[in-house]
Amino acid sequence: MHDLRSFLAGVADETLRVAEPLATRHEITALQYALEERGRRPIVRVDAPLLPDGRTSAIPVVCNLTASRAVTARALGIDDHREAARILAGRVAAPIAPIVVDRADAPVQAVVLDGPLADLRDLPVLQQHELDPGPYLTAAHATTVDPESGIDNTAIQRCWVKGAREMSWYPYPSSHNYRNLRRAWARGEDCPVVFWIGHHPAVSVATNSKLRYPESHWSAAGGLVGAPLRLVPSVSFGERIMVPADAEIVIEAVSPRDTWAADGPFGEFTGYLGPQAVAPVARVLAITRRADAMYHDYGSGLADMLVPDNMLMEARLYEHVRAVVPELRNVHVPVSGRRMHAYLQLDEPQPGQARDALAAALSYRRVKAAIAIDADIDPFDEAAVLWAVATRVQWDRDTFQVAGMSGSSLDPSWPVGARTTSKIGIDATMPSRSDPGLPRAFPQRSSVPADALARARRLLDATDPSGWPTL
Amino acid sequence: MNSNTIGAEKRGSAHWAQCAKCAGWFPVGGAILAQATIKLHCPHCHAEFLATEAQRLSKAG
Repeated sequence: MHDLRSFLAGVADETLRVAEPLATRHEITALQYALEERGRRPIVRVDAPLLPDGRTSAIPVVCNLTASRAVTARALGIDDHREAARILAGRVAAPIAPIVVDRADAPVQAVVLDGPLADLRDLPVLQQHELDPGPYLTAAHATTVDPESGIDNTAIQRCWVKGAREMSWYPYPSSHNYRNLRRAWARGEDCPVVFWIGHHPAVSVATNSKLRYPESHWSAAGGLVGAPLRLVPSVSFGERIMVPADAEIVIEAVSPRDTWAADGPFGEFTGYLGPQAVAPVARVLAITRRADAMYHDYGSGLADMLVPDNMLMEARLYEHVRAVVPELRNVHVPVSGRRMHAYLQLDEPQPGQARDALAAALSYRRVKAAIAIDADIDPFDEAAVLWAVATRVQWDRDTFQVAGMSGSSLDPSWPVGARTTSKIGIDATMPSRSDPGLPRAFPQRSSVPADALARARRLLDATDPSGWPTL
Repeated sequence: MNSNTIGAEKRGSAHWAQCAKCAGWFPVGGAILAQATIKLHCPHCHAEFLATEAQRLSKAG
């Protein structure tokens, strides 16, 4: 069974459970910031979220679910997070169709609140950042369908809760949900949309993956999880829009034709506030949930939100670059670069191959800077990557820039009015060998003998390091 | 100053609006500023007003 609670049961030792009341306005997100300051990434469960009107919600908040690469990898069935690119690359290519269950077998429809009983203000929705104008759903998986083919699409999209049954939601203009919205409106129809919250991290990661249009995210999720996803017809739309039977909460809504409202500012993945924008309105028809539902929130712009998306990017880049350069060994899309940097680890690249790999990586969506490194550099050790950049790069020889490429307009460095971005490839690999039997025409890195290092490590293992300076 | 120098100059891209009621500043996108009927929403005091009613606009570029 893949659901949120089965996952949480397996990570109890890695969970910070907060019993004292914390406000949904700023205080829970502040806890995530404080954890990042300390470099710690437990899952956070807040049992007594305080709502803006002073009530304590009976629905606990779960956040920081995927802040740790190690925990997220395990949720995806991967023992070592460093192997995510290679392992996930194989999985995303083999979809498994979902199965449909009866409502009686769908925990997410144990409680059905429709009409005036449906009230978004009863949910512990967080207001995360200063200048966010109100509470936002940040882990709402918005599912729409292409009105022509009926094929589903899902993506996490922010939703500003504005009233008991009204939200704005922000399908990015290039997104497939936006395309479905405009197609429904072009037919003179309101656009049905469901927002589901709280599921096993593997399902969340998988349904949020980027696919062609139209292509079912339910099947892609099954492929990544390795089992068919259990779906149930929505209360408001029946089989026209299905919802995950094992989610925690579902909000069923329509976007009235040609109805827009202000949305934002909102703290974005870049770490900056995105500007107030124009977004479609969603009018809520029903809220369904488990009897003991939990509410899931992603810390926008924090590792919590970046890690799972970046791991999927690593898989996509691994497939994409390896088709050009089979010497690609691994890929890391680091949280420090948000979604805009990629480190490519290559195994003895031949002349030209580092640039081939860099050019391929730069063609992928939001990647704005790609760095090629050798197999002796750990792509998950950013100090080592920067050492390679410092010692193996001549800027005029080993870098190239390309302009006019697609990227994220939320990148605050874009010039005003720009619709494309510039990108850079950095070849931080050593020169290739002129002959396999000869030393590389490059200095050997400094080292100490392995046995001496092993003895030093044993000595330290037996010593209490508390109190020693770390900087 | 030649055109290359101008092109290398860093210029910001964020537009800001000043609330018609509380005078607080908040970032706004170009698309919403171009709307004639959709009101801005001040995140400081929750006043709603048209872009033309803002106390001031600080436009990039």
